[in-house]
Amino acid sequence: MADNMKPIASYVFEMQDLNGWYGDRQVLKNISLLIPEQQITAIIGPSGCGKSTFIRCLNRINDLIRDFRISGRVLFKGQDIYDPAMDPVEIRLRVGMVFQKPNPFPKSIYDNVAYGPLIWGARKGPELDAAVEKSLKRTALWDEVKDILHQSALALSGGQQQRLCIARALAVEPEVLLLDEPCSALDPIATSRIEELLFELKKSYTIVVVTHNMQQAARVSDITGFFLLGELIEVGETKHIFTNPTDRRTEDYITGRFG
Amino acid sequence: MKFLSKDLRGILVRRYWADRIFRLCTVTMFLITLGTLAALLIDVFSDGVGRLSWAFLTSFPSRKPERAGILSALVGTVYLVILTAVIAFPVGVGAAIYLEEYARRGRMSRFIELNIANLAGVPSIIYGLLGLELFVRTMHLGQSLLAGALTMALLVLPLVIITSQEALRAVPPSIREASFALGASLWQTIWNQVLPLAFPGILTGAILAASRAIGEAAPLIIVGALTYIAFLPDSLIAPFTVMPIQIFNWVSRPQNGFYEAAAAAIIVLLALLFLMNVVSVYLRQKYQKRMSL
Amino acid sequence: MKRHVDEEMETLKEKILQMGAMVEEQIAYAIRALVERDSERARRVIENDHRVNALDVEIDEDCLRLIALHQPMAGDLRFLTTAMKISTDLERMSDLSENISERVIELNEEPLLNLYIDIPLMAQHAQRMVKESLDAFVNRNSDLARKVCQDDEFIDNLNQQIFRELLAFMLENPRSISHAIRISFISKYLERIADHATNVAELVVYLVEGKIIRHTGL
Repeated sequence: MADNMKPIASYVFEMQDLNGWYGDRQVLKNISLLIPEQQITAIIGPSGCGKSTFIRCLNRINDLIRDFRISGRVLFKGQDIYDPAMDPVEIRLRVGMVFQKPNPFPKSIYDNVAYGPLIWGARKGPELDAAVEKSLKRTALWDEVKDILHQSALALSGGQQQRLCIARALAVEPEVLLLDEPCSALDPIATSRIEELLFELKKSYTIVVVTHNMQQAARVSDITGFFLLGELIEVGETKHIFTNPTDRRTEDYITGRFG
Repeated sequence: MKFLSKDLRGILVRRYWADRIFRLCTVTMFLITLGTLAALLIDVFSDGVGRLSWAFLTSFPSRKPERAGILSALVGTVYLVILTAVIAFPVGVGAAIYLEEYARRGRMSRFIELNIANLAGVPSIIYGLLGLELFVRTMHLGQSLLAGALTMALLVLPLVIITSQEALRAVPPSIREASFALGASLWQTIWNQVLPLAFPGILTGAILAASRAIGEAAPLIIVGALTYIAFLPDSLIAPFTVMPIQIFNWVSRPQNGFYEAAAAAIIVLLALLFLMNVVSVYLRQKYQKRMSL
Repeated sequence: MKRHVDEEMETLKEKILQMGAMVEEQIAYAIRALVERDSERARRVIENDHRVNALDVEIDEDCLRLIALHQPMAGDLRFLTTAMKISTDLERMSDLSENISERVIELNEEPLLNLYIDIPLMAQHAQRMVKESLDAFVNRNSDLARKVCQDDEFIDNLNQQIFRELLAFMLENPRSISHAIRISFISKYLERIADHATNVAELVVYLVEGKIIRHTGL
């Protein structure tokens, strides 16, 4: 499974026999996976294979879904995030998330980015302004919005809104950024801007991207994992997965013979 | 298209006629409704508009029809509605927040919601009886404004809860998800994101409830609103009356003058309702934000 | 699930086989021209080279188009890239046959010296290597491909042997030097043809197994 991985200095996430159920339906089966630090890991697979469910386990946002439960361990820097003593709210501070459909708050651009720091105790003032600016600069949005910071975020284009959501997530200084099909709702130009952004962000954050677009996974990621019907079929260096995958099912999916 | 009969023209013509007939029917229903309402208003206005005057609004009721005024009833209504709102609004909205955001979905919560919906349909006179027993007698509040307001609050509470819940439900889950993903607690998410977005809807619900409360007579009679008061309530436990009761009282008097006075009072009541709706619409427009793309 | 692009790749495979058949013919005719002292045949080999070149260009363009339009991955990608390279190797083999034919024409203008010794054997062997490498390509048979790589040693040795024999002859018969040199060139060309066949075989191994064995041995 992880036989095509170069030994890397450190891993940020380690999944050990992760299983997940919606009620009686099992959607994740025995997932064991390592997510390396400061690299982009892509998760690919056909619809319904569990990849979105999987990534949502990494910041426990699946807790919001009433019927969902897991077994197994999810270790974040050595600590099991599903340990009862762990507060999911703390985890989400360190593991940020961006969703498929851009979901800015119906507030101003400034208020969107400032929301995170504010709920974690930041005070309004020049420091907060600087933090907002820093986040927006990091997502290459600053120049476009610096004069309209107090306009509604909903007035931005889809691509800009998604970059705003990324800036918002970065404002609380997470260590990991999870992106669940971030470009599905965007046009190709907005998509490529976000992909460029991910390359930049890789230098400072560990990134996990779920995508149904294989070319995107190929372009952007260092490590790729292939999910099928809730199982992790194969994981390895992206260049290996896309030139010479080990598992027949991976090859068939990648070449479009099914899915 | 081989399955289409050669009578294509005929089919189209028949469809056209069916459309027209259907449209005619619905327009007729609409006109009947409109006509009834118009007839009502015209009748009331023609009877009462002559009696409207500043004196009418500022005088107390009297045994002489020419001198009768609605001051005490008007003031009583206003006090009652405000007091009802003050009691029902926080309780109702709080309950709605609990049911919608905190409570676990399950048979229990569905059971509770069903019962709240049922309570909304209970005849108001029953609330009167409850108010009489609970507020007037057991809590010794007497036949007072406070007892009346508490009774009305109970009456409109289901309405407030239901409309507030609807307003909360209308907030897209994606907004909540985004807030949680940033590490917000449930309370922070509700206070900062959900409530501001649900507020217009909650407000509308509150005004809807107030509109209901304004028009009630039976429960207030039971709780002890008097039919003839020549003074203004000076405290929460003072006796009081409201417009619908005053109207009822005047309508049952034999003199014709009182009939016109009642019509005039109805006009004032309608004006009050209209005003409240205008305010509701205005506030809704002002605070309504687009919630998403 | 059969995809639209599968048909195009089938067509591409056909073209490569067609090119391979042409190349095998070129080699065979060049050696026949030598053995039968038939300059006419040699000239025809030289003329046919342009047909092989045309196919090479066509195959290149097809591969480029398929890569640009279909973004192939994994096995499909390896197939297209090896197809491009195999086409190049085949084109070089045809060029070498052309070179052989040029030497044949020159040799036919001189009297027969019967020094052709093992050249026909070498040619036969080289032709077989070409055929087998293309068979391995068609059937995705990496074992056959590996065998072809090993067969190259035989031709290398034969080439060395022929060169030694010609050298010995040249030393004793200085007047035959130009003749003998031309024959040694032919031997060299055949050895180069075998090398290209080995290249094709190595590419087939990459195609089938995903391992690059070029330059590093098996």
